[in-house]
Amino acid sequence: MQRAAGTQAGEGAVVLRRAGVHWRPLLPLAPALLVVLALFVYPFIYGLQLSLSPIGALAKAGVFANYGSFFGDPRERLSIWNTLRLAVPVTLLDLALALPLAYRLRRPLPGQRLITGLLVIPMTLGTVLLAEGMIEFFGPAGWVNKTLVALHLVTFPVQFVHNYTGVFLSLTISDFPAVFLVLLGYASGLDPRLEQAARTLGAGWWERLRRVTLPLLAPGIAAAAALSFVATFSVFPSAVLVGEPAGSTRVIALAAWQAAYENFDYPRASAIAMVMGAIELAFVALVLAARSRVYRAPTIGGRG
Amino acid sequence: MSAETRTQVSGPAVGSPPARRHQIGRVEIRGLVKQFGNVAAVRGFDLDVHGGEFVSLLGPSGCGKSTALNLLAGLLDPDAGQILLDGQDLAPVPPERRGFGVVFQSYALFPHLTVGRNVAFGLEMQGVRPDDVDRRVRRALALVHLEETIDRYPAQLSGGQQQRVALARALVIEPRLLLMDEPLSNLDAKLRIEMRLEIRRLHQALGLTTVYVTHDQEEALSLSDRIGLMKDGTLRQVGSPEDVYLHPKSAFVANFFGYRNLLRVRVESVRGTHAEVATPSGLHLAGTVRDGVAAGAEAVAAVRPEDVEVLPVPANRPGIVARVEFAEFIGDAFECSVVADAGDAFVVRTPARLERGAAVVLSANPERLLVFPPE
Repeated sequence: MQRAAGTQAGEGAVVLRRAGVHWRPLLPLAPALLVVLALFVYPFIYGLQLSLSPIGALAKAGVFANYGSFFGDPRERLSIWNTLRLAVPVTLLDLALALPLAYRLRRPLPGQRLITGLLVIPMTLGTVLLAEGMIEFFGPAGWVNKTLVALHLVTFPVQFVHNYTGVFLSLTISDFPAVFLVLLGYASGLDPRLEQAARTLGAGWWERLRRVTLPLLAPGIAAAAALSFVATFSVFPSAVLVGEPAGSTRVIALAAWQAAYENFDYPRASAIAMVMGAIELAFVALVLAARSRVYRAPTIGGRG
Repeated sequence: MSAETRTQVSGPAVGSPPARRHQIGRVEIRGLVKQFGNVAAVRGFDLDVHGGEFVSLLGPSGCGKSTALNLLAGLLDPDAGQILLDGQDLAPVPPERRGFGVVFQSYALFPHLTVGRNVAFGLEMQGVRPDDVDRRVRRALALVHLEETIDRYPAQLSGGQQQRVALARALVIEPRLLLMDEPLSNLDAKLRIEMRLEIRRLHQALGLTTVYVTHDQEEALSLSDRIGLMKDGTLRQVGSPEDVYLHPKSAFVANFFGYRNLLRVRVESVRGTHAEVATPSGLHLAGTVRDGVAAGAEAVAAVRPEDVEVLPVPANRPGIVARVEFAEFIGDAFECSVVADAGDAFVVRTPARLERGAAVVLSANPERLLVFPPE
């Protein structure tokens, strides 16, 4: 009897020890987890809950009334399209511009630091400074239009700002450094021997690019595309400062802002923010799925 | 059934020799020079490689052997000199059109492709029909005993397996010339010897003209038909393994092949091939001279540890009196560091462990003590 009790206590100790072994390695993660919980998970759940509690005219129309009303309103729906037609082309253009540059600068070249520095400068300018500069530079009396008129390419100044083009240019410039830096990181990690091996096996530059370089850069391209899309899809200041916030550049963030601070309808603003998040998540999922079709090498493996 | 059994057998009979029909006559390398900035990595490199031959470039790191191999592959452009393949100048031919197989030190397997796709890469580039690609990939993998890994990724293989995949990938294109850059240096000692036998076996089976770069003299001796010893970007001696091992032409080559005792000496007299030399500390030695050594000149005397006779004190023959510093067990003998009373240090071999401080007398057969001109 006594013996049995002793055994039980012993087993209990073993179980406890096992539990300890499981949890202790995770302990150093606790501070980071707390921050994530407090700054990300809690606001997200709070916002989700808020979006499902409509107020005002929609208070009695059910939990999804905010979503129904957003998607039911053509002007509101249009904000998604207005944002997508900025975010997708900007992301593609920045990738197309950054990829050859990152590839070319992957190994030390004379003047490489200077070139990399110049390419990264837009990151250090805030959106507002960039917008002010653009209004001057691309404005009716700015250098661009003066040059175009002087060259007799146009008769009247072209409108580059306070429309779609303005926001497109602003986003392309401000978003480029992040895309470039992510790609540069991946490109400089490419083993030059792999391309040499492909060469000795008979691959010309196009085959090397298609079969070796691009597939190996696929994870970097995916990461850069996801980052770029998420950053440009949540565009706000430049849509107002160099865009046409009442029309072609009424982006989804602006719709949410107006709901929150013009109509003081926080639940509706939360619903719009949730839609925004869902679209971003869908894009990232799409990009990661595309990536794994190209690059499927295992991340774990044994070495002998 | 019997065909299947045959492919299981290892040895020179494995598979059909796919490379024979691509056999080259010879590669002539003339006055090759390659500079990196102000440093000449290769300067005045001349070598002929004959069809079917296995030639090693052997030398310490930084001697230019890998640069020479990259020049051959076309991955680097020479600043001067010529490479002729059966009389054709290779300068205008880019690496992708040379049809050489290259095995890199780091293997350089494509991490995003399976083993099968890695091996198929070169064949696909040649536009080989898909079913032929499949057949030849399987045959190449069978050659290196790795058929079962065809659907795995390189990261799932051991170092030795990756090495063999790299070899199969280079062999499958039936290269006119096979170039290998220290292919075994990332493997552990046991695997290195296994792979050495494997490479030897494949060379005998396929008869591929091969240039092999290594810093390991054992590897070069066991694999090569000829060895080229490199130092400071030039070839110092080219010959059969026996030739370079037994008849080194310089102190550098001698040192590379086990002449671990090198002494600065002054030549006192020369009679025929026999020379009397003296160290600055006053030791007198008798040796055999190589070309370019005259009485009164500075020279280097070289002797292998195993060629030094270690006699107990008192000795029945004259010799150098020395004391044991320490002894290392090396398997079949002990290697002892000894210091002569005059101050010169020697490495010698003894069948039994000698105690630290024990006195011995050293004696060397004058035929085994070589006297070289200084470098």
